[in-house]
Amino acid sequence: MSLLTDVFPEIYRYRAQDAGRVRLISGLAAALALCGATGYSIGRTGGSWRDYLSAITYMQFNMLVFYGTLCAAKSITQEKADRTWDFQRLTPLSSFEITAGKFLGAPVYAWFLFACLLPAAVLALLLGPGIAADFFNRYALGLSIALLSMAVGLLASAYDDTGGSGMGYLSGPLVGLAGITALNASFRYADTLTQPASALYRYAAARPEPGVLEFYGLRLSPDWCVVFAAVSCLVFAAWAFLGAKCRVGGDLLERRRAWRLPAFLVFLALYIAGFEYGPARGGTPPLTSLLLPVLAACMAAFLSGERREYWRRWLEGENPARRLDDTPSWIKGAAAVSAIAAVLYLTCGLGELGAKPFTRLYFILPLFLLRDLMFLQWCRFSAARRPEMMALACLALAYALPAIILGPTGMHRALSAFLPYAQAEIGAGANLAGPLAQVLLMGYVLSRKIRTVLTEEV
Amino acid sequence: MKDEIVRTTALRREYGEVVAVRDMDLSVPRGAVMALVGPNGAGKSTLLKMLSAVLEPTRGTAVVNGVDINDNPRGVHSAVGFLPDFFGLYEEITVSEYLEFFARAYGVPRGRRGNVITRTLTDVDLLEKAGARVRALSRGMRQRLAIGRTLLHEPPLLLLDEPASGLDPESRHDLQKLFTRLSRAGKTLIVSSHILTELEDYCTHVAILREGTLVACGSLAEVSASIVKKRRVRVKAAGSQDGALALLRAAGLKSPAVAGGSVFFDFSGGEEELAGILKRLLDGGVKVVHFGEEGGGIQDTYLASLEKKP
Repeated sequence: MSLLTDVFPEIYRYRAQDAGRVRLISGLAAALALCGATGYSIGRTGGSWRDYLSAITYMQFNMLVFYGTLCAAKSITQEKADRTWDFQRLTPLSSFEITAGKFLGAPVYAWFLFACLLPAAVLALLLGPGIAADFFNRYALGLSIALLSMAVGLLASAYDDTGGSGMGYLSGPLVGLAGITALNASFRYADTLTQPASALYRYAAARPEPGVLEFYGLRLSPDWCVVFAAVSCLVFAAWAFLGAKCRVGGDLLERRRAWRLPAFLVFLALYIAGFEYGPARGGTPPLTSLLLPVLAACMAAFLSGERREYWRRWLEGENPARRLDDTPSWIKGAAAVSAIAAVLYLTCGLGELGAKPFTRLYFILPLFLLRDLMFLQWCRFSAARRPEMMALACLALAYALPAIILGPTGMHRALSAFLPYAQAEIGAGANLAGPLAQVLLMGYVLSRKIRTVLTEEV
Repeated sequence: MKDEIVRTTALRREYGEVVAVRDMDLSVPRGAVMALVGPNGAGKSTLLKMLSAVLEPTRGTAVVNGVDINDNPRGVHSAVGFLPDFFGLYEEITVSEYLEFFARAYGVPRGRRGNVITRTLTDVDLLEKAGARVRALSRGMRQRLAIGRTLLHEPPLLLLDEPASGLDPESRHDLQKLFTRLSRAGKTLIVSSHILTELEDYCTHVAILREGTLVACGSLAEVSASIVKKRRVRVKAAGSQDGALALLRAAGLKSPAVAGGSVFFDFSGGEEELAGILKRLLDGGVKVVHFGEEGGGIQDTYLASLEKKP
């Protein structure tokens, strides 16, 4: 423990702050009372050890996921609100050491309460016949979802620039609620995999193999489904942690890396494509594997906060290697999405642009993304105090108004120029012309704006 | 320049449309105690943040203890101890736990950690409060604890933004003593403050900022000489001041006047000329008990600089 607190001093601080003797004793007493009361209640109602394990793990993981996420999600928010963040930034701790310290240290009391309830679950495992699979499933899924939820909470906290306002503190409960929803859904899913076939009668009527996953055409056994879900959560937790680390690294003025955002977008596309691959998609092009990276690229661009000063520093950067690393997020995101779209088109839609209208979306979605991100950057070069909010509001109108105006007037043919969808009745060229023209126009307007602003400032 | 601990070159920082620091060229010699003075919004805090590499400049650069803030901001962090104008402390831990946390963060080896913390607590006069919760400290103690944190890794340069703000006179006096001790220990200090009279006791250099521009910079004497063109001299004679007043008028000095039991006059000549006036007073039979220049310190220099355009 001493070595760990030397490497990650944040753990030392959180332990000193949150795990005082009184809190430890009261937490232990509460956990013992809870285990005893649950055991008594289940014993009186004729429940089994399986029911006891189920009740204990339900309490244990819901507490860990929600409370642990709250702690992780307020870790950096609180530092910024309390104005202690600058002191941390000045220490030689790297972004990894700070982020890992917070990830491990902030939920220290949640982990303590988790540990207090663990012996009761182990007791149920030892005394209850045939519940090893239940135990394994619940702990594999529970722990991986807890880590994912905490990592996402930490990511939200790292991106919180509200200075500790209510909005900043709201992210913790929201992510925590999403976490416990995913947790309980995963527990129900795991239960369906371990229950006997007769209990699954109503599901079996609808699907011969309920709940079994297919990934890149590979049909997973029920045990492997749980492993796959747990590993997936851990991998996404690692990405969320890396995102938080990069944001903290930005605060520490650490060097950025050009590959990180594109690598995540490519991973996301590959992961989602796994579920859409092969017979599972029934001949439908894997569009979700493009749609989610598009959304992720959009979020990254909006959250990056790379305003006018950043842009100018990037343009004036003298070191070419550093200029590549400092490439603004919206350019990296748009480039990565375009590359993903090109690969998906080559593998799924080559030569069928006109024949299969859906495949046009591989061009349409990146074009709309590029238009929107260029507009975001235009807003950042305007005098708006909150350019991201301005961009969001205008883009919402840009998508809503055409549908509201053109729909009732019967001008459906013009809709595809303003909304990202493939219109089977018109040719590919006509379908792509609208978004392409908007991209070119927006590019011209943005370049003029940048030139004007930078010239004025010089 | 080898003896410069800070050198900025065309350092500039903008916040949107506002230019907080405008193409500033500043140098601070090693071992100096520099007062950074200027009205609110002059760019003092922004300058200190850039020098401590927690804020990137929009343009230009600064070399701090031989490290460029753009090329290696993390290298700068180990060379500076920065106290921002507004800061917080971890309220729920004790004073010694607070310093222990930062000692670990600064990589102080386990064997030395106890000594370093005790030395720091002694330096900032908080040894008796080692076991107290941070939330129980008075404002002055909190300020001293925060300064103690900046000293933990023994940086050669301390950047202190309004360290005496909101402190009572006793705490300010304690702080002055601490700065004097640090200065004697060879540290370079850059202190921004509004309480100019207190800076005079320990500052050797001054930099005057206005609207993001450096109005003047250098040793106190240099800056004073470049800005303050007229000196105000006070003469106090035993008994009535009339004799002294008459002699000074006869010497052709501009507007000598009696105020608060002394005679004051403005003087723009050299030291020899001033000595001649004193001799004239003594020869005229005036029993001089005080003859000396008033002001000339940071406050007067700063006030005089307000008349100078940035």
